[in-house]
Amino acid sequence: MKRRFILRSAISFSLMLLLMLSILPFALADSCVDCHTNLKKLKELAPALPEEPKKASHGEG
Amino acid sequence: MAPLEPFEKVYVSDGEFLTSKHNAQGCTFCHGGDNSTNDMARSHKGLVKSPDEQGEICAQCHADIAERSASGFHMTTIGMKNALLDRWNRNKMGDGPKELNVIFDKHCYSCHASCGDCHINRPKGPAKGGLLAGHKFLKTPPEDMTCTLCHSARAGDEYYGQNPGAPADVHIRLAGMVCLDCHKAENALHGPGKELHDRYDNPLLPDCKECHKDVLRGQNVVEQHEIHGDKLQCNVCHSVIAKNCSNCHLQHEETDGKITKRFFKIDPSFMTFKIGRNYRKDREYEYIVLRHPPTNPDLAANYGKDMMSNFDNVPTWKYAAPHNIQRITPQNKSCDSCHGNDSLFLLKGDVVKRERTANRKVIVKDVPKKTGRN
Repeated sequence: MKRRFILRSAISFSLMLLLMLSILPFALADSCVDCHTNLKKLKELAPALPEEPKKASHGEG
Repeated sequence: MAPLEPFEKVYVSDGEFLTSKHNAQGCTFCHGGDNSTNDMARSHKGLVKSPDEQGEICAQCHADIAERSASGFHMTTIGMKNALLDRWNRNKMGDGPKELNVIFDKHCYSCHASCGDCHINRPKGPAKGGLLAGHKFLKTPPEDMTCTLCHSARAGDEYYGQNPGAPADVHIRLAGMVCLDCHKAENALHGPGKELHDRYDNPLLPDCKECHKDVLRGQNVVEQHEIHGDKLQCNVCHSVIAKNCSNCHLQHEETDGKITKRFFKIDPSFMTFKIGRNYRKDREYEYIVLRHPPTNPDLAANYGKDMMSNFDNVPTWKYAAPHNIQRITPQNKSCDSCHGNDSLFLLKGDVVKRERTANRKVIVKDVPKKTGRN
């Protein structure tokens, strides 16, 4: 009984580990995070950024 | 405050944010785009730069605040539209010509602040945007990077004593109080949850008497408070010279029939302190402090004729609350520092001819007489 429980637990754990490892590459493959947390990379890409439109302001109300 | 470099504006430096609940669904949940490719153009296709422009995404968790903010001035800037429409006379002529709405959308609305403009990034207009703290969601925004970047020329500079000849407000000098100490998020900042006409129309605005309860009638230790009671706006005795503007002209440039640039030309600002008659029905005061906003009859002339056909409907010297409160001011040193002192009051001669009719209700005809008391 005890051996069966240990065996079933081991299989469950292995399967879960396998599943987590298989989705890990997808979870980490976020190009947004890759780039936007890397200041050096952002600076390299800076010339490609579009210029922001100029705005007027000031009033009452 | 110096603007950030373009690449610094989008640098997500806060590691905690990546594992926080605000990022639980990943970047693309709010911003769209494609996070499966490293190609810059493809990954940014369909990107929503400011996903919370109207607070819809924030509303999924912060429904109550988002609902109140939806009609708040930071979100709508509707006070500026009403200032235009009041001079257009909507009662007789409807909601204005097409050009008037263009003016609002393209000029006034650039002051619109979304949830993120206070809690995630610097405001987009004057500060030109950029993340406040590496995309961290700040419950209490840093006022020097949010509030006073927009409210700089008047409230901010007044409060911190940046205007020539005007000392900093006593609340910062002696008490170290910041914007949010009076302008509480749950009151005025997020809006009262109903559409207002202008910012003074908000029943939740800060009130001096909330803290200074000893100025209430019958409880005074200061004789002048008992004498003047509610006849005077607090600022009449406790504000000093403040910044005023005039002659703003909205401009635009066209290329091949398309408007490519919008800007404004304005006269240099001027410092003054003027007391006028109260014209607001929602205030019981007899005298108020006035400020001249940049408006004038030709404000929108660049966009079309008769854009302010009912210009005289609203004063151009308007109710104001200069943020430079002092306990002792030149006008409250003695009774006759104010009584009989023509220079403090808005007289006919202080108003340019073409604005005199508009200001008929606020111009002081009879300055309170000298009392002979010092």
